[in-house]
Amino acid sequence: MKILLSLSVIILLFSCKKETIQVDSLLVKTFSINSVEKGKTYKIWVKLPEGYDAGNNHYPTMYVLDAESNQEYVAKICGEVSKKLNSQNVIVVGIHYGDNRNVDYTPTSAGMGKGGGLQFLNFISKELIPRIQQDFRADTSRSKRIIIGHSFGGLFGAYAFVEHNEVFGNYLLLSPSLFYDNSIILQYEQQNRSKLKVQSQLVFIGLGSIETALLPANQLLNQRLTEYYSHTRSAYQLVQGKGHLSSKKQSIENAINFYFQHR
Amino acid sequence: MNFGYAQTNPQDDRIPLSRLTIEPAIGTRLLSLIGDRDIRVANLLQFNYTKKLSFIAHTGFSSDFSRNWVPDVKQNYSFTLTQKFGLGTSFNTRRATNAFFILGGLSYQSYSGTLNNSRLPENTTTKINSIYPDYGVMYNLKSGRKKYYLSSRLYLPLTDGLYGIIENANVEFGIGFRLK
Repeated sequence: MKILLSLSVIILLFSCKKETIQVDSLLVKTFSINSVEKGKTYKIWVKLPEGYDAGNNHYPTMYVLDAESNQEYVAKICGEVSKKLNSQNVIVVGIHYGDNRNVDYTPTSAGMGKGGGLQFLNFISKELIPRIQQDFRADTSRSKRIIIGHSFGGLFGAYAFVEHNEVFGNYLLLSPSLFYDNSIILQYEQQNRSKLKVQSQLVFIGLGSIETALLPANQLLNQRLTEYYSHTRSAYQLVQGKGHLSSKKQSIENAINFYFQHR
Repeated sequence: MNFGYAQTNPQDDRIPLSRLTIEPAIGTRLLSLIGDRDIRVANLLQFNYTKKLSFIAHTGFSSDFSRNWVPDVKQNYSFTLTQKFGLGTSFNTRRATNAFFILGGLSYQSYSGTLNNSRLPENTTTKINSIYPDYGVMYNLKSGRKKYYLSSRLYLPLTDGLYGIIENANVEFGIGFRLK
């Protein structure tokens, strides 16, 4: 019985261990950028695709929010999926926190959010993207830019989609907090639908089945995409039995698979 | 403290070995302490095969309270049914029995919620039903030596590492009955 007890403890410890992801350090570049738009300094993490130095190809760029916790896993999955599909990989750009995520990722001031989304998006579009395109062989077309974010990061991605659709052509929204400020994103979408629906884009919405409060607004956004957006390819995937945090990794995998299969 | 059920420690002999116990309880997720509250009723049926080895069947029904932080969603219903089986062992202290189990099974989740926002033209109702595996470890503290005793349980799911524990660890408190 001591064995049984020990086994339980070992299983528990293994279940809590932090996964270590190996990233080729030669392909990783980091720099800091002082944002005039935000008045803050952002640390940027760039993971170049394998074979980057050997050729002259230009690559799509995937911008990762909450980069501290997501960038390496996103880069790992992009590498695996691109290999599996024999498809060109992307440059992964992780945007670290320069300001509080409750400020940067929220479109309006409401509740815990401070509504700095517009300034943060201006930082990305006017300062970060030009810098990435200047320093790396990043494809400059809208259709080759992807944004991926979780929770408030997903909310920000949805905000970019409905309010500033010219910046990105691909939106990977993981457990996006669409309930925010009286479902403001759905209101924006309604207002801007006539100009949004003529654009081509990929939109992925993924969340856990037990984060129930987020389901209705996300399902409605998906319904609208399916009904009104003939030029948009969209997907809505639930991770069964998972919550807001525990669904994230599976949703990242689903989203990246969707992107590589349909871009 | 002595591993095994009522072995050599004289104090342990005072705790009778029952082949079969039943422990109905009520409980909640630990996450309820900071929001996303639920309430659950559960039953643990324990068969003591030997003094050292026990088999259990755990049945649970939990219902979520409405999420007030999403004001434009009216929750019609949200519940989960869980059935798990497991095995484990226990050891006695002066006043209580400490039991540890590994258990696994299935959960069935059902949810319906309606988005009703005066600024949106749609009135959308979402319904989902899903079945998924659920496994983890349970600590069960049984206080009392008579036919009736207090049962306190802590369940830690192992399906999703630390995040799964944060989201779905739960506690249950009830009364145990020694049946035979």
